[in-house]
Amino acid sequence: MSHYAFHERGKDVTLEADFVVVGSGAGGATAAAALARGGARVVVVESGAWRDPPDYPSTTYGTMRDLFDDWGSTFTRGRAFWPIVQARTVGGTTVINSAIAVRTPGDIFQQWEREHGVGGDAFATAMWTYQDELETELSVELVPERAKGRSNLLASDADAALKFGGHVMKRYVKGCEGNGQCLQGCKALKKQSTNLNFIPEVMALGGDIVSCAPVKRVLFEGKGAVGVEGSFAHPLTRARGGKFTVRAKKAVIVAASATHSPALLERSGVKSKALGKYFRAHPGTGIFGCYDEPVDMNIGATQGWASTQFRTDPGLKLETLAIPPEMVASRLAGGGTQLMEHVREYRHLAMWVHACRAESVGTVKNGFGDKPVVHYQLDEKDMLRFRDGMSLVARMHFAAGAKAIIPGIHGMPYKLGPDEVKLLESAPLDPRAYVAVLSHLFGGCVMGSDPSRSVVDANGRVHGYEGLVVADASAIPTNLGVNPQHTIMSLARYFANQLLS
Amino acid sequence: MGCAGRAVDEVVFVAVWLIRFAMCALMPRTPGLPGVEDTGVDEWVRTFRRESGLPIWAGVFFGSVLFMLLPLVTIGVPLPACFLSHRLLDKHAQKITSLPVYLIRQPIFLVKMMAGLCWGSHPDVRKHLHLTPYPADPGTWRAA
Repeated sequence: MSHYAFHERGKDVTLEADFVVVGSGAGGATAAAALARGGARVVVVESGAWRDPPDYPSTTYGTMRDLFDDWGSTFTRGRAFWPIVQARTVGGTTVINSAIAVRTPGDIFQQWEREHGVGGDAFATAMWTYQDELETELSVELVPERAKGRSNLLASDADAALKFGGHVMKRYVKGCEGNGQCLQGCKALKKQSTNLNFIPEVMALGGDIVSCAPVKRVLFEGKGAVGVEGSFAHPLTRARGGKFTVRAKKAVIVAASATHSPALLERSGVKSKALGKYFRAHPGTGIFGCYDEPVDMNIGATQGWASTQFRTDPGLKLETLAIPPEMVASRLAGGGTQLMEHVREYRHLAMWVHACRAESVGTVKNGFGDKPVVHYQLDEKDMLRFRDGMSLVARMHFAAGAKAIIPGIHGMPYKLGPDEVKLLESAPLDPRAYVAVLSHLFGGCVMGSDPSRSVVDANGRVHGYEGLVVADASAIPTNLGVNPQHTIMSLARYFANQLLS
Repeated sequence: MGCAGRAVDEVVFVAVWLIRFAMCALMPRTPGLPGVEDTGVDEWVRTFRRESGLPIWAGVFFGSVLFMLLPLVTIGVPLPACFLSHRLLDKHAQKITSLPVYLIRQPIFLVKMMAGLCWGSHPDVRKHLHLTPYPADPGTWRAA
């Protein structure tokens, strides 16, 4: 059990194991832990550095530098450039997300079976069993009363008035203190990101962790995957270091994310008609509500309330989301003294967001410097859905007592009062008018029974190859409409246990 | 240091100055509220240059160049932004964030985001917003 961090040039590392897992986030860490529990020797290779809670940054600048994937500079290529939020660190995006645990809806498994020839009742039962286990292992809890904060309480009030079917969130957080610092990593050790549990467990069971180690390619002998190789990258300077090679006797498990996994397979020479296709996401944006009393949205859980009532019609999830003041400044319109007048209101603002269950599909390609290139834009139907989400969130703010909302839509008034909310129904359908992000990603190496329309089979194994498995969000063939971490983790555990059996 | 090295240093110096100028103009000091110029922006921009990746640095630099060059488009004054009076500079900063051209608006958004990151993490600003100061970012990781 060793941890290999950045090695300088000339100091190469060569390891051998039963399984090598690329990526240490929700998919990779869960798969690695399952394999290690099964008695296998596992090496986890992670492109980011290993940061423990005392190493976590405090500021958003530090978060972008230390935890985000390439400073958060991956964005969609389409009509609008929307950033893609992902982490690059041991623990992956579980370090920076809000740790929201939502069980995979039953209709998803039926849809997978109907449209992709995988899934079905037995698969659903297995997945839900794993989700039960994960909820116990990772201490899934409702946001406690003391940590809710005013923004989440206001959302609950609005929900009570509008009957939006909302609920207090369940999260992989044990005894949340409501520090409002989920994005920067939970220094209070409450959030159960995988760098705190599954990764140490893999080491305790004899596995190795290789960090600061972006994988260049998967190694093959014929059609069989036999390992991975790459060069260490310094966490701060990004200077290239020594080479690393990890040989796998049994299989290579790729779990580098919905953007990096397809890019890695492409540059490794994997041939599949479906590789990099069927990329989907939850594009989302927020609306600020302006309240008479201070909200202080960064006091309390970053996210604590959600509604999935609109998941199927029109295809939306509503959530609270507290963002730090340094991000609020850029989300408010204007510049100069006008912007400073706007940020003065910070304490009185609550941000609530919608995540759109978009059906539009995009592609992921391997780009210059091994950076994934994502082509993605919403079609008109999805933009209508997206706009509906704005109206729903606006209605919630007014139901909670907001005196005005700040929609943040280019070409629309800065603020809208309760009598003007109908204007949102005619808001532009041009994605360039919105400041949005893609937070939950799916596809790129989708699962299915038909090799012409999918990359992996129902056990995560890449069609036409031996010993090559994909175990992350890229295997998910449809848009879930809920936060994907629980699905990713249970899928990874399922695939890992199939490998062991 | 050779000629090439000096040239690079000069380009970096100009880029840092442009970025700093645009950030300060986008979030200026106002009565009772610190602006970016009060939040250690010089050191912040130098650190950002040293630590950031090329894509994000290039985007912020491009946005700052646009900010400098476009007063003619925003307020009809054919001067670089650094020659504008306070009043006109403020008007330019206001207008440039809402230009209809997306390919201009987005790089400016990036500069504004950097201004926000510098401004919002400063202890004086956080105190003003009733938030506790951030501890320093450790910038550390497990080396072995």
